[in-house]
This record gives sequence, C-alpha cells and structure tokens, in this order.
Amino acid sequence: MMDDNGTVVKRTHFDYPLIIVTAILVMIGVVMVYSSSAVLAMERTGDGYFYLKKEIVFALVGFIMLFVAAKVPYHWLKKMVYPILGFAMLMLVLSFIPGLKSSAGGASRWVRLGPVTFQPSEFAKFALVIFLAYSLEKKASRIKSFGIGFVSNAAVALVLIMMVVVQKDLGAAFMLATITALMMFVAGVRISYLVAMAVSSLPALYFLVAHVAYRRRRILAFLNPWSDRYGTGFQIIQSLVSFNEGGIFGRGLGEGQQKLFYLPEAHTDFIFSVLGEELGLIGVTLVIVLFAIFFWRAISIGLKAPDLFSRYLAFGLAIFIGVQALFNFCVVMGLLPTKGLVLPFISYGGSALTTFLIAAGVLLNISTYKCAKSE
Amino acid sequence: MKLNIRKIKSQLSEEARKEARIRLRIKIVTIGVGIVFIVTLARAVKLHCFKDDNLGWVASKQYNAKIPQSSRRGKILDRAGRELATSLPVPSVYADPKSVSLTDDERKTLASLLKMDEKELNQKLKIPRRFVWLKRMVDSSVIEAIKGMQGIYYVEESRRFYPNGELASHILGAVGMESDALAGIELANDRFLGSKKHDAVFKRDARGKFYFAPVAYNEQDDVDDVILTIDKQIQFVTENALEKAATAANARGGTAVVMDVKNGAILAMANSPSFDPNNYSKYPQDTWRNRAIADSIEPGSTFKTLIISSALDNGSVTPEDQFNCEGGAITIGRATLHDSHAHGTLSVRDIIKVSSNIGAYKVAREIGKEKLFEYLRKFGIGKRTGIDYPGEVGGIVRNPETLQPVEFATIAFGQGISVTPIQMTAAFSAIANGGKLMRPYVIDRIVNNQGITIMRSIPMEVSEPISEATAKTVISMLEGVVGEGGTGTRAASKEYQVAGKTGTAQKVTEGSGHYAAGKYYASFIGIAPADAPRIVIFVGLDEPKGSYFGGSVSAPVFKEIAEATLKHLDVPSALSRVVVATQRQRTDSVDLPKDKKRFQKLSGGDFQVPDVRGITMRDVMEAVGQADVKIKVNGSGLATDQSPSPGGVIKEGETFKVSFKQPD
Repeated sequence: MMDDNGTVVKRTHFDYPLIIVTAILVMIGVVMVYSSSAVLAMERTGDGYFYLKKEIVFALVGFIMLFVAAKVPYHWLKKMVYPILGFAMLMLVLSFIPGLKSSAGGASRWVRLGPVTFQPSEFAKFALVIFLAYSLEKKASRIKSFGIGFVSNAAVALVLIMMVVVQKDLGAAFMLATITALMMFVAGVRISYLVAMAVSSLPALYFLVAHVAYRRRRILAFLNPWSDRYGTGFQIIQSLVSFNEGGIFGRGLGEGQQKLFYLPEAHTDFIFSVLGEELGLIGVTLVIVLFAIFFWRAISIGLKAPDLFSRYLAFGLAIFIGVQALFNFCVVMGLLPTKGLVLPFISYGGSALTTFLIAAGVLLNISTYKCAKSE
Repeated sequence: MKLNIRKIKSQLSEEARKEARIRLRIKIVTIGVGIVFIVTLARAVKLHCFKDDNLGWVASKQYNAKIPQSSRRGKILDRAGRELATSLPVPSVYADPKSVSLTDDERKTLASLLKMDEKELNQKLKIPRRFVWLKRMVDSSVIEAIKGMQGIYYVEESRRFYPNGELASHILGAVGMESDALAGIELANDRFLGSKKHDAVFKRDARGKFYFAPVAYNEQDDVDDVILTIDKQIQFVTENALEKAATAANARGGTAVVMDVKNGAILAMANSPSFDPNNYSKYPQDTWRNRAIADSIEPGSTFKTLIISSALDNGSVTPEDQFNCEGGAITIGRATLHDSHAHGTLSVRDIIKVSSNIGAYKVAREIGKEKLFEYLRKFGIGKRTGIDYPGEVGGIVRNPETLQPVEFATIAFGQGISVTPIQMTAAFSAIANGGKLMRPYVIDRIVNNQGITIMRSIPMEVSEPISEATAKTVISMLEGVVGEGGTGTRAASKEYQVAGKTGTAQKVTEGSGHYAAGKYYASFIGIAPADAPRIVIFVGLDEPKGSYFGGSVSAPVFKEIAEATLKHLDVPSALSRVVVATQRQRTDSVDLPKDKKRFQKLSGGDFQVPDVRGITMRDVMEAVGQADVKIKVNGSGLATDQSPSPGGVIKEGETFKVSFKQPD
C-alpha cells in the first residue's frame, strides 16, 4: 500500500499498552466515581448508585466509540475537519442560549438537548487538535511564514478560546492555548511568533484574572491558602488535607472522609484528591505512572506515524490527554491555581469520558499504520 | 523531461531537515512533560509522606468536635493501700438544643430536677449548638426522671472523690471540673493518673452527620494508681495534733512532717490551715499551699544542731569543750547579740541543751566560715531536697565570701538564713540515720491497670555530712534538750526515749528585711526513739500568739505524734507491756464480738455508731472503716468518750468525736 507521498505504509496491530492503560484508567475511574459520589448521590437522588450507573453506561458507550474510532481510518477525519470544528463551535454557541444552557459552579458549560446534557469544552479541545493537525500539515511547506503558518492557525484557536472564556471556563481556555502553542511549536512555527503570542496574551490574561473577583481570589488562595482558610483557600486546603490524611497506603477504598463534607466536586475535578486519601501514595503513583505511560505511547505512535497529519494528530491527542491530566494533578496538589479541569478517564462526566475514549480510539487507529521507510 | 537531480536532492534534504526538526521538537516537549510528571510524583510523595501539622489539625478538627469531659483518674493510695483519692462515675446532663422538644410541664420538671431557674434552662436550650451542658454531676435519681425527654441526654462523667476529706489534702492536691489536675500529687503525676481518653467527641458518621460519642467511664481504664509513702493513720494523727496546737496557739499556720529516717520516705506531711479537696474552690488559695516544701523559713535555734554537728565532725570542738557565753550579751561590730537567759561558761553539750546563741556562735567560729558552709551544703541546706512533689523551693543561703561577721554570727543560731521544713527534716534525719542524708520522697510506687508496678522509688543517699560516731554523739546531746533543764522538756515521752531541738525564730517582716516585733516561728525537730531512731518529726507553728517558744507550743505536738506513730509502727515502748496488758484485760472482760465494733450502715446514708470506748485510736479508725464520716479525736491512748454515744446514729459527712486518754 502506498499513500499520496509514495511512502510505503504497512498495517500492524493496535498499540496494546495504550489500550490496556486506557482500560485500567477507566476502571479506576468507575470505582472512584462510585466511592466519591455515593453519599452525594444518596442525598440528591436517594440512590447511592446514581452516578455509578451513569458512569458505567458512559464507559460502555465510550468503549464502543473507541473501537469504532480505532476501526475508521484516520484519513476520514481529514475530510471531516470542518464539520467537526463546526459542531464544536455550535455546541459552544448553544451553551449561551438560555433554555439550552445549564450552569455549574457559576459557569455555563453545559448544553441541554432533550434528555442529554452535553459539555462541549472537551470536544472543543478534541476538534482543535484535529483542525490543527490538518491545517499544520496542509501549510507544512510555508509553516515559517507569519500569515500562513502562524496567524491562520492561531486565529481558529483564538475563536475557540474566546468562546470558552466567555463561558468563564478558564481551565479549558488554558488547555486550548497550550495545545495550540505546543502543536505549532512542533510543526515548526517560528519560536519568536509563539513567544510574541504568549507575551501579547499577558495583558488579556491579567485583565481576565484581576478583574474577575473569584479568579483573583483563586490566585490569592493559591499563593497563600491559609490567609482565608474558610473562604477561597478552603478548596485547596481540603484537597491537600485529603492527600495528607491518605499517607502511603491510604485509608482504604471507600473509607475517605474528605469527600463526605469538605472536598468540593469530589467526583469531578477533585476526584484525584479522593483517590489520594483512599488509596494513598500507592494509588496516586499508579495513576500518575499510567498517564505517563499513556503519554509516552501516544508520543511514540506519533513518531512512527506515516504522515504529518497523523503525526500531529497523535502528538496533539497526547497533549490533550497527558497534559490535561498533569494540569489536574498540579491543581489538586496545590501547584497551580484551581480551575475547572477534569481528570481524563477518571472524573465523572459522559461527554468528557466519551470524548477522551474517542481520542484514544483515534490514537489506536494511527498506531496500526507504520511507515515502512522509517523502519 | 529532464530530471533536476540537484533540486530533488535539495528537496529531499530539506524534507530530512524538517523531519529531524519535528522529531527534535517533539522530544523537547516530551522531555518537558516528563519533567512535570516527575514534579507531580515528588509533590505526591511530599504530601503523602510528610505529615503537615496544619493539615492534620484541619482534618482532626473537621472530623471531630471535642467536648471536654471529666474523665476517670487513677487512685491515690496510702502505703497500706487505703484510698486517699478515688473516682466515681456520676451522670451529667446535656441537651442537643436542635432536637429538643419538650412540653411546658417537662421543662418545669427538668428545671426543678436540675435545680435550675426555668429561664436559665430555656436560655441554654436556645443555644444554636448540638451540645450544651445543662448540669454537671447530678444525682443518679435525675437520670430516671429525664428518660423520654426528647433532646435531653446524660453522660457518665467521673467525679474525683477524696473519701477522707481534708486528710492529706496538701499532698494530694485537687482536680478541677474537667478532671484537670490543679496541684499536688494530682498535678505532678497527671500523666499516670489521668486518662488519655478524656475528650468526648462529636464524630461524623458515613453520611457526614455529627453524632455525640462520649467516652464511657469503663473505657477509661488507661489510668495508673499512685501509692504514697504516706500512712493514713500517721497522717491523721499528725494533722490532728498540728491542728489542735495551731488552734490553741491561735497560730497563722503550721507544718508537721514525719519522715522515715532509714530511707527518706515521708510518712505524714500536714499543714494548717487545711482545705477539703472535694470543695477546693470554697477555700482561699492560700490554704492549698504545702508549706512544708513551699515555704522558706528562718529556722532559729534548731539550726544550732547542724552547726554543732559540723563542728564536732570536723574535730573543731568536743562535747565537753567549754565556751564563755559572756553573761548573755556579746558585741560584734556595731551589733549586740543576746541570749534569752544569761549564761557564764557552758560546755558544747550545754550550749545545745539551753540553746545559747552566743555559745553557738563561738562554736561556729571554731570551725570557720568556709568549712561550716561546706558542711551545711552537705546537709542539703541551700538547695532543693529533690522530693518528688511539685513546687519545692530551695531556701536562701548567703554567699560566705561577702558575709559580714555579724551575719555569720546570726547564722549560727539560725537567723539570716532561710530553709524549708523539708530541708530541716531531711537534715535531722541524716543525723538520725548515722550521718547519711536521704532524699525525701512521697511516692512509693505507681501501679498500672494490670496491677504491674511501673515505677518504684528507690531510697537515695544524697550525701554523708557527718560520721556515724558524730551522729550518735549529737543524738545524745539532743536527748539532753528534752531532759531536765533543757528547752524541750515538753517533748519528753514516758513511753519512748526521744531527742530533739527547739527553735524560736524571729520573723522578718515581709518585704522590709527587718525583724518584726512579736512574730515568731516556733518549731521543734525531734528524733525517736533516740536509741534506735526510726522517725524524725518536724513541727513548726507560724506566729503563735501568747506563748511563742518552740519548746512550749511545738514540743508537745512532737510528743503526741511520736508516740502515736511509733505505736502504729509497732515499735516496742517502755510502757507497751503495760498497755497491752490493760487492753487485753478490758477486751476479755467486755468480750464483744468483733463486728459489734464496726459502723453499721443503715438506710439513707446513716450509720449506727458502735461502742468504741476502751480501744486504741487505730482500732477506732478500723471501726469507722469505709463509713463516710469525719473523725475528730482528742488526746491519745485509749478512747474514753465518744459522740454520738454508743448505739447512736450518725449521718454521712458528720463528725464522730472521740476523746482518748493515756491508761494510768
């Protein structure tokens, strides 16, 4: 088989480590979602298994979609770039529309479509990765030019970033910016442009943080959580308490105390703190190492990928999942200010989980193509 | 078509360069991300493995809310295992105001049960908390009555109970409402006596709801018992004798200590005025002080004993050396020192016997300042004895280097130097113990809840200030003091040969540094029996009115304590055969069954009083047994009179009065 460039491409099997790591992470996620949500579910719905049941359904649907994605040749995504990007933007726009939007934690991040609620931010990141992989490949020969190599790609990313910023989802904005910067860097965009972009975004960032009271408080709380122990510092202190209480071996699965009263969003953004308390350093290390393996497999799939599109795509998805996991770790461990970022595969949430699993499926699909020349 | 090979080549190498650049940049990003992974792992190790006190504090605070609860404490027992302090489970009533739902009738009943104002009760029930004490330590009958009242509960707290009331209160100390040790043995041994399970806690259940989880009295078994060297009976006799004398002399206060000379064990330590640790807060704090170890006093003439012991041991003088006592007055520098009675030439033996200040000064001069202070240090003067009891002071001894001649002279008769009663007791015990100074101690051993001894006091020799021979000589000289013509004749006993020294010290007005007119510290320190010493007794009365000489007010106290103590210790007395014979005769003739001599418990906390006439003080104590009545005794010997009379009824807490008289 030969592709457009005349490179000999061989088909091979899936990347087994990647699929095994993904499966383990999802299983850990299902268990932790139950442990962290049972009491909350009991209180809200009268059914302690409420979130567990939904998460299991999401996981099953997600794995079906993972296998579909793994079977569909990634080239198809090239053709679907604009529909996918358009869908992501439509969802983001819909989440502003009263009657369709649904709020969580002061931010409107959900779209309600009949019985289904959809959280568009993860899908937007996924769509951006596909778009950038497509666009950076297409413009590969003139990647160093300012207009074609830099502005055209940055502009699309900026539109998405603006849309999530308006939704007050600074975490997603930060993640979108990171994906864009790293993918452009790898594709060969001049570093000076990237630095200039970072510098020019500082005033905007300052404006966004300093002029929104709760974000400013979050930053202050991050710098010194003890200054306002019951206010803004509360969340991060409670998260740190969880880890500290966990010790090396943890309190035991289900034995966590923090989730019961003090850890906010225990089953979503702060699920890793619950894991830290219940499974201790052992569990925390396991999860961090699994994500590191996932990241490393995704990168090596990218390095072996047959063309630029699939290479950029694999790299972008590695960042999408690996770096987002890292950001989540850093936030819950007090290394970064708190912002809404879920932990891939583990945090509760249907649209996020299915999106991450589709991304893993795409990576698996890329892993089946091997560039014979590079052997 | 011509192939432009160069162009293709350059294109290919351009491709290769691009490829290399992409790979390089991917690797840079990968390494960067890898570093962040390592940072997160390091952070995880730090958070999990290094316990942060702040975080731990936050955690414990939010899982539990502590309510101080009065917890059980170990017992304090005397040397024979008799209870001096014990704990009793007593119910305390609390409310959960959020769940309180009472009818008006119930509120009225509750208020009257708890002896509270209804307004006050309603106020407490409005406090927006989950826990409010309504009344601590209530009668157990209240508990039955509050059953069924919604939101009103009780918890068993521990009440510290001192069954003997004021007995040994200064040694025991006291504990507060939350079983917090305030003084004495209670405080010094709190880590043994106190339970670690002392906080009732609010816990969170699996749903995160608070519930109240008091620690049950029975669970608080992590307490140790402290066994003292104190003998309840000797303590009782000592306190009685001291209190009687202090009252008779209208003294400001008094101290008496009985020490076992062989090992330094304190058999009794009494102070006046006294307090009842069961109701410590009703007594002025001044009465809590254990004067025997916490008060510095100028010893007065008892100190001459140490001066002469030192001089004899040093070989500076012999008992028969003669000193001119200057007819009762001597001028040193610009000061003139006086004797209470004018004396001419006296032997060292007589200087002690009649307590000549001038004579003592001259003896001190023989040994010299340096040597004398070295001896005093060895006697333990000027430093704490190291007794296992909190709050000891060391007294004040001037630096010999800067001492003026007149100051040196006054030290010879115990003025211008300050000591504690326990220091003097220990120093005299050294003389009684063949010259060996023992560290005084009040704790014999500590036993844990398994009955295993976890700490035992070992008698400790501190120093050996004088030789055994000197000690013998000094005792023989002190026997002279209680003999005819001595200052301490009123200490002499018909039953036991005793020795001792009187002391009447002028007191310094507090803060001024001048001696106060008419204020004295009258003391007697004695050794008994003189031939084979067992005990040393210190008796000191602070500011007695009327007769203020140690020989007249303190010596009789010594005699009373010494006789009772030695008898209790089964030391054969010169008269013991007579007493035993008399006792046996009486017992035979009356022929009472033994249980007739016991307090019979009647209903409602009353006791029927037996006939105690004709029995010893010890047997009277035995007859009273565990009955919760106070005992007041008068005199010594055998009981002659009692109130209430035989067969009468006495209520709990009332006083049983018994008079004793020496059998003829």
